Amino acid sequence: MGNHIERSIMAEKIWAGEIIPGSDDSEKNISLVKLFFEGVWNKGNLSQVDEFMAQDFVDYNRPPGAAEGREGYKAGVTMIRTAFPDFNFTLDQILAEGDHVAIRLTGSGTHKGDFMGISPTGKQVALGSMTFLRIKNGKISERWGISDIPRVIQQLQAKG
Amino acid sequence: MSDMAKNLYRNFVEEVINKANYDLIPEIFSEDYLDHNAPPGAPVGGFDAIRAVPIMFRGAFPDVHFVIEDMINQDGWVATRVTGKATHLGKPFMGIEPTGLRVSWSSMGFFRVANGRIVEHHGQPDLGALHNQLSRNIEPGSIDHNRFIVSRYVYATNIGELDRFDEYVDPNFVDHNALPGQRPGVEGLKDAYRMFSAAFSDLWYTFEDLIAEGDKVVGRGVIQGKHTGDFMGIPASNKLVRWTGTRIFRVVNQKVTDGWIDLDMFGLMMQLGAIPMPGQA
Repeated sequence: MGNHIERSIMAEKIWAGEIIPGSDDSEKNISLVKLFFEGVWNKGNLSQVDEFMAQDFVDYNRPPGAAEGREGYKAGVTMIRTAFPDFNFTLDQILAEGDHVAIRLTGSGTHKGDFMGISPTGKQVALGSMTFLRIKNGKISERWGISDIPRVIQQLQAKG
Repeated sequence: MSDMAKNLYRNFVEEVINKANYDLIPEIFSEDYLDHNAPPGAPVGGFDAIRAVPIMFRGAFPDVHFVIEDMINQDGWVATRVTGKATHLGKPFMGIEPTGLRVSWSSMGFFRVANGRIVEHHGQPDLGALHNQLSRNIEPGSIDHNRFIVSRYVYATNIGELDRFDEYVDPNFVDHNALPGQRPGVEGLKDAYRMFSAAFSDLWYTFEDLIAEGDKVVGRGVIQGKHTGDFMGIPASNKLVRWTGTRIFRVVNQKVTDGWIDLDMFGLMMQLGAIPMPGQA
C-alpha cells in the first residue's frame, strides 16, 4: 500500500520536472550491493546489515520460520556461515534499473557445521542464487531471492 | 532497446508459457539459444530447450500460469522475476505423483537479447518451495484430500494401473453413466476402462479444471489417444483423436463412491469418421 502511494508521488514529481527519469542511482546501487555482499556474507560482518539495510526492510522470501526484517536476514547469514565457515558469494552478474537491482550469484563453502540436520561432511558445495533488491534512500529496503538449497542438500547427501 | 528485451520476455510468458503457443518460439528466441540451467536430461540449446521447460510444467500442471512481477533491463540483459500459479493435476513432478494441490512459487531469470532475439538464459526457479508445497500433509477428509483422491485415481487410469483402483475407489462404486451391460462396482469400472484402452493407445485424460465442494469433485478435461483398435464396431484408423469429458465424483471416507461422466461422443465419432463433419456430405 505504502509502495503504491510512494510510486504515485514519484510519478507526480517526474510530471512536475522535479525528478528527471533515467537519472537513477544504478551505479551507486551496484556499488552498494557489492560492498554489502563482501562485508556481510564474505567477511561475516553482521553489524553491516543494520548499516546497509533500512530499518523497515522486508524480505519476501524468508526461509520458513525465520523472523521478519533485518533480524531474520542476520539469522540466515549466521545459519549459512555456521554450516560453511569459509562461505563466499561471487557476484556473477548485476543489473540495475531505477531503484531495483538484480544479482546472479554463486556461493561456495566447506561443510564444517550442522546444515538443516546434516552433520558436517567436509564437502565443498556450490549454491546457485538470484536476488532482487529495492534500494531506497541509499538503503536496501526490499528483497526477493531464490537459492538452490535442494541442490546443496543433494551435494551433501551424494555418496563419495 | 530496453522495451524490446522486455517485450520479448513478456511475449514468452504470455504466449509460450501461459497459452502454450509454441509456434511463436522462433519469433522470440534465436536458434542458437543456450540455457545455462536446463533441467537434468533436458536439451540445453536451440528451440527444443525452450519448449522443454513449459512442456514439462504443463504436463504436470495443465493450468500453469505465470505472472511477471519485475523486469530489470541493462546492457542487452533483462532480469526477470515471476510468480507461477498452477494445479498439480497432470504428470508426476519431482517424483511426486499428481496431488490435485494448487501451488504458487517464484522463479527468476537472466536473459540476454541480441539481434532482436533471446540468445541465452540463466534460471533459478524456487523448486524447494514447490517441492515443500507438493509434499505437505493433506488432512484426510478435507476438500483438498478429495481432490487428491480423484487426481490419483485418474492418474492410475492414465498409466493403466487399474489394480490401484482399490486404493482410491470404493468396491461398491456406482457408475451413473454405465455402459450397456457393464458389471456393477469397481470391477465394472475397470471393464469400461479396458474397453477404451483396447481401442485407443496412449489414452490420457488431462484435467483442465478440478473443483471440489462438500463430498463432490467436478473435473473438466480432455482425453487424447490413438485409435489403434476396434471401437464400437469402428475399425482402427490410427488417427490421433482428442475429445472432451466432464466428470463428477463423490468421495466418501476417502474413496470414490459415485461417478458421472459426460463424454463428447459426437465429437469423437466425427473425428473417427463415423459421423460426417457438418458441411460435408
